[in-house]
Amino acid sequence: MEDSNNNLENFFRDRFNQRIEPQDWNIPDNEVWDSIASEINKEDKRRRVGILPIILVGSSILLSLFMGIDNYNKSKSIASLQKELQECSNQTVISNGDDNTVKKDVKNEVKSQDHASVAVNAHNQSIQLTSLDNSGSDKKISKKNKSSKASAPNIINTKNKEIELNNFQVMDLNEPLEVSNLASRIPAQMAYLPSLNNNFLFKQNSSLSLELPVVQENLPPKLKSNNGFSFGPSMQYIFWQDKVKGSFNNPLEGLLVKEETLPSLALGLALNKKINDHLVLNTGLMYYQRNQTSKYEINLPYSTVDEINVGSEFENKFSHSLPTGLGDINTNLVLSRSINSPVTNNENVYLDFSLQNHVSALAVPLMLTYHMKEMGNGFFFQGGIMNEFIIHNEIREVNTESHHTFVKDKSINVDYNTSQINKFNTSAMIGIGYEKEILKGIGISLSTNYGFALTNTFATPNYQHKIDQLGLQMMVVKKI
Amino acid sequence: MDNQKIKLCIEGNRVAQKELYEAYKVNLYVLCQRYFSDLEDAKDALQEGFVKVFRDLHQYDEAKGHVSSWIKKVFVNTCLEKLRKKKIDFQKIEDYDHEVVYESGILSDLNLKDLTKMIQKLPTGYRTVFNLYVIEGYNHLEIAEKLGISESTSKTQLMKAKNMLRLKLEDVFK
Repeated sequence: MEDSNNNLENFFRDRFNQRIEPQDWNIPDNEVWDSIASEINKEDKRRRVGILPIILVGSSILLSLFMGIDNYNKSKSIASLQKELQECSNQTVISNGDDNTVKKDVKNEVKSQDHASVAVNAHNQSIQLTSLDNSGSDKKISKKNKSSKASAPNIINTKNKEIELNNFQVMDLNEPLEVSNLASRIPAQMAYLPSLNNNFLFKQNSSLSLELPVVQENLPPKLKSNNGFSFGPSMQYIFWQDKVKGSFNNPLEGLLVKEETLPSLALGLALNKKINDHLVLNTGLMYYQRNQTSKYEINLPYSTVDEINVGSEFENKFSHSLPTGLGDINTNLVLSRSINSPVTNNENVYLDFSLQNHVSALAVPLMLTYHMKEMGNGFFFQGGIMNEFIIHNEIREVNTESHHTFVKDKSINVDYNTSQINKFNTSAMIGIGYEKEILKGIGISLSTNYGFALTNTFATPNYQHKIDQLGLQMMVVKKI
Repeated sequence: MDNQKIKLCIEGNRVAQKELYEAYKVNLYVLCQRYFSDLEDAKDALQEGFVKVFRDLHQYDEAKGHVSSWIKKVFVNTCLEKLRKKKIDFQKIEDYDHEVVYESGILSDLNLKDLTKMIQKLPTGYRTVFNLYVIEGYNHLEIAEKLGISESTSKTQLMKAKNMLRLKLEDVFK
């Protein structure tokens, strides 16, 4: 008995480990390979699309980090500038010596002080550095020139001389006097000065004068944001609500069990424009994918009269048109049964049929936000429209499952015309949210909004399909 | 199939992938037919198996054996997965307690196609355990884990499968 067992096992094992002759087997050649190649293409496509959200999320994080660091550095620089301007608002440098002396003196006295913090008066080919103490009286700083000519404080006045301070640019007034020329010579931070408290450059008695009025304690808010624009990454998690209206104009009327759309992750960029302290206009661009599943329960009277004999079984073909959120699809279903199965004519065959509509879309919101306090701080309400542009749509994942004991679902093909969908959709949006400035000039906002679909994704005279949306959004924006 | 070709397959080169398909399709189609009584199911398994092979080929570790063994494992798992979806009920399969002792010499007259047909005619549970134990070489513990059954069920199914095959062989040579 044991030997017999082993013999049988060894026999089968050996036979199946031997070389198999292809001619003995009817290999479904091109048909199978075509299906495999098509599946691999789909997998590749899915993999590529799958990476996109990761890239977008990664880019958003990097952008946020970069903006944070950039903002931190600028804040530091502005604070330092602010401090120095304040210190130097009481200082006057008067030039009346030779170049070497001027260079030495000013370097010694001003040292690390920023060029922008110094007010210079070059007169009679000499420079003298003086400062004012808190009481306003002159205090001489220059070691060379002890004269205390503070008659024209806060004025640069040079004549045929090159003056070079720590960070000052060499200024030769023999050159034609042009604002663009000056701008290039003024160190970076100096560029802020003309915008402060209406400073201005002017030409006076063939000499260049830069007036530096007393700098106020605090810099005006104009330094932070002048144009009212803010920009940054945004992310939204969207729940979709399918709304189906009407009836199906085909033999499967009433058999649609469920049409539901899975939540989507939308990634993109937001651009805001401040209108006034309370009102902000929001726009931007978002990308997302939407997967909608349509489930049908099909009850088919199986006709044995229309059967075709295929080898050891009978086949029966059924064609139907089914409405989905992306348009009508035509299905070609093949059911089969074994020749000996006891199926009678018109016997009901129950099938589950499901398919997935896949959509890639770009959305452009146009919203108006009302801030309860002011932009960048506190709660806000918003309303507007969301415009959706469908850039790609297809039918995926078509499945059937027969519940009949003897009739099985052999194959199903779906014909779908991608152009029947409405490629442009609009929704009316309302929402509330909260915004907080996390770093200087950078705000984070969390909001929730609901969109009432104003257009149908697909409609026929008898059938309309639209999708409402509920979004949870997070934005990080930086004033630009 | 050399390593260069496998690399090309991983990179998604369709020509290399077609070559791999051509090289293994016959053996793997026979393997699929051993697990499914229905040719359409076997064809589906062949397709699904190759898609999985091309998708997961980057996971193949050369140090762990030849690529053909890895591919075979992928196919066996694909077939089992498909069978699981069809819900094999090992407990409800009718009992064949008939013990038959058969002379082994006569078996050599049967070709591979006949043997495959015989295996195909076994009930799903018997067929699956028989394939896994006798042809693929898994032990009962491994089979039990793979199929979510007890070791004793696996042993019983194998014994019954062999008895049934003996009966079938008896019929052939009557």
